[in-house]
Amino acid sequence: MEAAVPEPSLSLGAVALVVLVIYLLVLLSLGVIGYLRSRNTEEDFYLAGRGQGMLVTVMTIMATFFSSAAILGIPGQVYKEGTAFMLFAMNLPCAGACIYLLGSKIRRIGRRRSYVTQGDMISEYYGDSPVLRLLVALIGFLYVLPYVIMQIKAGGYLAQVMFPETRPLTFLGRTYGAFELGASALSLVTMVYVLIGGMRSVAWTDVLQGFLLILGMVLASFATIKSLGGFGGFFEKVRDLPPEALALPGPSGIFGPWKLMTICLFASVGSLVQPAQWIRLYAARDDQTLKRSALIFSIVLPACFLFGIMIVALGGRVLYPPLVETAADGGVSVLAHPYIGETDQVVIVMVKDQLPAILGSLGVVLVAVILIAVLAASMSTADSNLHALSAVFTRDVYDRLLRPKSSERERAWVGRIAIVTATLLALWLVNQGHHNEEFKPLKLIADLMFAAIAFSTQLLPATIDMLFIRKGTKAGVMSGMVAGIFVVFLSTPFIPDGVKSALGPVFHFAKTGFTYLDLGCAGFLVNVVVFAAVSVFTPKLDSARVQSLAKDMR
Amino acid sequence: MTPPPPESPPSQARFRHLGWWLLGLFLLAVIMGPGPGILLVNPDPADPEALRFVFGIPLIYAWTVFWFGVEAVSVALAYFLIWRKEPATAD
Repeated sequence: MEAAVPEPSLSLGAVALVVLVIYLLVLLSLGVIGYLRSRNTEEDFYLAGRGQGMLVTVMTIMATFFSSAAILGIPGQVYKEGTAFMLFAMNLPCAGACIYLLGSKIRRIGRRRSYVTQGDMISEYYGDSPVLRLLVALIGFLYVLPYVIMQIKAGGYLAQVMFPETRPLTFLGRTYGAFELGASALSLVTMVYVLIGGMRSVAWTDVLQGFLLILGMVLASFATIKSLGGFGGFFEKVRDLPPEALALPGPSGIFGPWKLMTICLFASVGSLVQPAQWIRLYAARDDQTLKRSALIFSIVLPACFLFGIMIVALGGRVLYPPLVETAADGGVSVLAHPYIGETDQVVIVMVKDQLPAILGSLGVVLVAVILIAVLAASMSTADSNLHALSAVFTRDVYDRLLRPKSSERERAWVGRIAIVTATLLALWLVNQGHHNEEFKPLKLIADLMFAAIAFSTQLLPATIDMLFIRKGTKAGVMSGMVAGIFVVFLSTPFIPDGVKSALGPVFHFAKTGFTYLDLGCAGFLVNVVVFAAVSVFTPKLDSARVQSLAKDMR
Repeated sequence: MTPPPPESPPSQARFRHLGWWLLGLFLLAVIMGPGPGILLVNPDPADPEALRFVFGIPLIYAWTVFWFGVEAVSVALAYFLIWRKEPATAD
């Protein structure tokens, strides 16, 4: 895929470079300070000593949620689908409430039993099965890798916009332009501060990145409204949108109420039970911290979307109307305006065009700050996911299956090697996708996000059972997870067409589910049915152990 | 700091009762906002006379903001009236 970024209307030049260098230096400094304040233990590297206070907890949870998907992918969907996709913001209070409702029990038992990963808790609850632990780790990887990939990809997009004059470099017979250099820089800097400081560095940088994000969203919204003539002028221009952009199911006909409602209920909680957020629940200092975090998250994050970044996307739709194409079979596809390039880039183009026009040279500085905020969104999610991936690999795979007697020092090194390997693999995949139009799995950030969350949602039945119901069995939970993962995989390009057609009515049923429901919800429903059915016919868990674990959750 | 005394049983029952009401209100917001409730106001794209704006704001956007407000108020009330008053657990 060759560069789809529009011709630059303004060069940010030295301003962007200076702001970027300052930002990266501050991040690296926080990484070093995190290292100096850390103790050389596994628990400290992964959970910062389980002592994170309210500010750090809420900002690191929010910054991990605020990925490039939030700043680029979600506005891209609003640009495509109009006001229908604004309802997506209502998933955030659901996630916020669950920070306390699920998080408090997870935190308590995590502290009392020294858990670090999801696998620690789930596998102990269901009878310490290595297969179950591997299954949970697999779901973690299926979430983390796409998420890291989309963050790195966003770094490439940003570099193309911030430094369009970058001369390509040739290295080992291959040419590297602004995209490749930006993606590489984002990955390598993130990798370095995660490697040296662990959770403490990740969380501290998340605080800075979280503030930058909120500032960037507010500034971008202000610029959009101002450039379209204030609130009155903005909404007057929105009146010119076509009727289908002002109603459900949106121009492409995808987002009906059942789909949006199940996204709000399942994608939200699915995002909260992903490995990096689960680790943040363990790391919180006390219940009070999680209660306050839940309140702030539920109000601040959706407000940033509804009154910030989604307004920018709607303005982008007014200024650069997308192209709607109807295929012979009646299917509708919505393509970005040629000036925008790809729908994911609407915020970047809007900010870069509108701010300097209304604020002059101050606007140029603010553009740089907002673009750095987009970079912060990517880095804050990439760092959390790389860190979580390291924990999952070290605790759930290496320590339990490969070398059970490994020392803490050895595991620390293995964790760091896992971070380096995952970063390089994700970077390679991003570059492959950038140069190969047929590499469809990496096409759009929003698509990657929904698939990753759908995988993570398959941990939800086990989570709800452990925390509240306590009727499931080991065979039941494993069967449910396998069924749920399989259903989600059916929606991805990774399953060959031959397999899909061989599945016949099963695939047709799943495809119908994907049309009307959130992908994660479709997998969840199958997961729950299989989980419950198998649990009825398989041996129950030891009730004394379950009681003991339940006591540690209270 | 001295931990607050545990709530008396009638007070805990009142919290539970209030908690169910707030959960109901929250779920109502999810059903009415992004869920099927929106069909009550969703304008028909084919109907040129359909109401698409209220007070100059796109109807779907105004609907989203309103039900987000209901969600936010539910969580805020849960925090101030229930969660904050729960006795602290010993780690």
